[in-house]
Amino acid sequence: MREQSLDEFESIFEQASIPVLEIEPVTLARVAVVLKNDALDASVCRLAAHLKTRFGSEVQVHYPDTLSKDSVAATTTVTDFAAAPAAFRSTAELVGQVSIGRSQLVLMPEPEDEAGRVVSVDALVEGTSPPILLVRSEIDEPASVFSRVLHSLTGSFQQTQNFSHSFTLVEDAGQVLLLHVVSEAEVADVRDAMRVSPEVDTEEGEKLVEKLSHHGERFLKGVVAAAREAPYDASYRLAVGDIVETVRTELEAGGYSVLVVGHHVEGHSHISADDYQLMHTVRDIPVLAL
Amino acid sequence: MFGGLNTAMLASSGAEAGGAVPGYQTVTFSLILVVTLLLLATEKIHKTVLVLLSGLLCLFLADYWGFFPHKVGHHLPVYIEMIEWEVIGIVIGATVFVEIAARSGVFTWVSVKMLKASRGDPFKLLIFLSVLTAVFSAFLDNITAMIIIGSLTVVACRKLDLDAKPFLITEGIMTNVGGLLTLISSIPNIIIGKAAGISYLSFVLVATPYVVVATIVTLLIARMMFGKTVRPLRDTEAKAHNLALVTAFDEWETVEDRRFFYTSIVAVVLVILGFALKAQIPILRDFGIEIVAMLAAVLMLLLHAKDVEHDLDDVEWSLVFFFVGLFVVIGVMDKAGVLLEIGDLLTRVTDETGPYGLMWLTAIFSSVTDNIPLAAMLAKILGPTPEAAEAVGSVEWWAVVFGANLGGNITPIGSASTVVACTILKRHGLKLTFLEFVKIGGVFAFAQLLIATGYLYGIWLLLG
Repeated sequence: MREQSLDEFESIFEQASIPVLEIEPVTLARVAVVLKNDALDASVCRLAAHLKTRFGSEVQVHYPDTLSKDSVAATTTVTDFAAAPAAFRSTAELVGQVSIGRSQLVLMPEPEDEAGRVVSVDALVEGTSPPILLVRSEIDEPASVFSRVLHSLTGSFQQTQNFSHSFTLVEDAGQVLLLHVVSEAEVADVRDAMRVSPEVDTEEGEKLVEKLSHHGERFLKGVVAAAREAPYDASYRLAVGDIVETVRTELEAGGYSVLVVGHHVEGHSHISADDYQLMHTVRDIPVLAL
Repeated sequence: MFGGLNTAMLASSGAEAGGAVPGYQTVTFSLILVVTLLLLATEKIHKTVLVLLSGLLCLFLADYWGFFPHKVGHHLPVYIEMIEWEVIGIVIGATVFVEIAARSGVFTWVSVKMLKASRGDPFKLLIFLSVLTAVFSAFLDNITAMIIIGSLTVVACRKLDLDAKPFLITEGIMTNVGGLLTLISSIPNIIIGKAAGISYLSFVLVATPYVVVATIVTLLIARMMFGKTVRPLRDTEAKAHNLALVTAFDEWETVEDRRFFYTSIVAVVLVILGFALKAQIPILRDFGIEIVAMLAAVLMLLLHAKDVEHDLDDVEWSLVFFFVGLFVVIGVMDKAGVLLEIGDLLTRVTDETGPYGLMWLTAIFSSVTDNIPLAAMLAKILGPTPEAAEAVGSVEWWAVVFGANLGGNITPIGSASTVVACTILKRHGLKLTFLEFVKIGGVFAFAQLLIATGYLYGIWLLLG
């Protein structure tokens, strides 16, 4: 009984402590650019050049071997990347190159026309560890890409690493909104399960759901406080509903310049089904899949 | 020189059995008492089971040898005479009250407030948490006080990157100092206080000056002993860092129901006032303190009516049954003349050393075994409170109170709160051997007992 009480009180005090977070910027020493012989190639190169200036990144260009070296040179000539472009024959080979090159961010145009796609985004996301920025529209002003970031949070996100990319990439005067959408369908499932379970008291179950949202909010408060301390212009919003729909509504209303989805924990990407859906369907602004 | 022991009364009590008790019977019961106490010290058998077993054995033997003059069979009234129902009433009432009050978040809320007030400075943290431990021990039972403060200490030290050991040891020791503060702060206080007829308010008035001095001395010793860990912060950056870490604690996170929280505060204040001013409150004047404790329990059960079954489960029933067995054992020992023999022995000690020897002996005994049987036994042996000291109790009573409480600081098994402190240390992989504790706790206990010796002398001077 006493052991139980010790656990109980330790957990009460542990929960009473709002996490004091430090947002550690991620390193962007190596950035990979994937060309596709697309109109967007130039936009991606411009963005890479901008990141090179901001972070001193070394940019490695990868291109499908169906492209001639001359056309690659023509695309990249204005950007003055030091490393020689590397040709790949398949997505698998590109995955290998990105991994060997220890790239920390992949920039990739993704044409709307499926026939024009030489790289499978899903295979690249699954096969490589760095976050991938998918560019689907022309970028005239690279500095505008990370001026207003919408970071969508789903599932378990209680690690600051998840936020580091957004806060590292956001421009000096930029803003980050952390949007956590609790899936209404999942909450309903949990409630149904509690209702039929003889082990769980319904009132206690409701309290549990409330507690979880409350803890999530406390964590977000901690992140925003730490971000503001850094200082970043950050805010958060909690919502309950359909994840994809809520994010899309927020995108339409908020005038965001980039959407960030997924988790990036200890060097590995975790993309949920909702994140995949957003990654593939949001086309008017770039999407960064962590 | 001092009040004197109750040998005359004990002698008449022994004769109650129908004349002088034959020597072999006294020896037999003495052996039962010694074996019971030894087995209690070894903790091989659960203390409640052991004492109930011993109580039953005593009863059968006492009946066989005709100790009960009015042979009415083995009916409860005979045994009830031996059992101090007032003590049991206080234990049950206070436990229910405290457990429910603790559930309201009052104590955790105050604890987090104190943590924040320390601004994360290790020395201030030691002072605040230790003083709070002493205050909590005065109103809660020592184990609950240690569990609450110990848990916060572990979490806070983890955040502040501090070694929790010095804090937990000092807190464990401070629970026994705080346990001296009121009549219901510890079981020996309840037993002695009831036997001596000391009122709640008188107890607080006599004990407070000692507790204040002992707290200051304990903290100074802790500062010297654990200087490396509990050093005040000088570096501005470190101060700001620690302040940010403790500011991040939100005391309201420990409170689930604010309405229950506020009503509990009112209840706690009312109950403390009820204990303190019982003699002045007409409706309570004629009742014992156990009625106030039961009233407090009922009040809290009313406030927290949704889970009465669970709340009543929190009563330490094993302790209640332990008392039942213990009072039977001591009652029979009294009739068998065993307490008379022990009283004679103690008279010889106190004739030579005064109540100081009694206090040091009690402390040493309490450091290795349960102080409750000792207090219960001494409560029977000690003489009635002299007229001059009627309001505050005799010096001998206070010698037992100080010895029984402070002796628990000498060894890790000396008191329940030091056991909890060591359990917390072990859970978190912080090693502290029995001898290491004795080396540390012994210094604290020696200083505290030394001050108590001087304090007893002061009481004696005051009482003339």
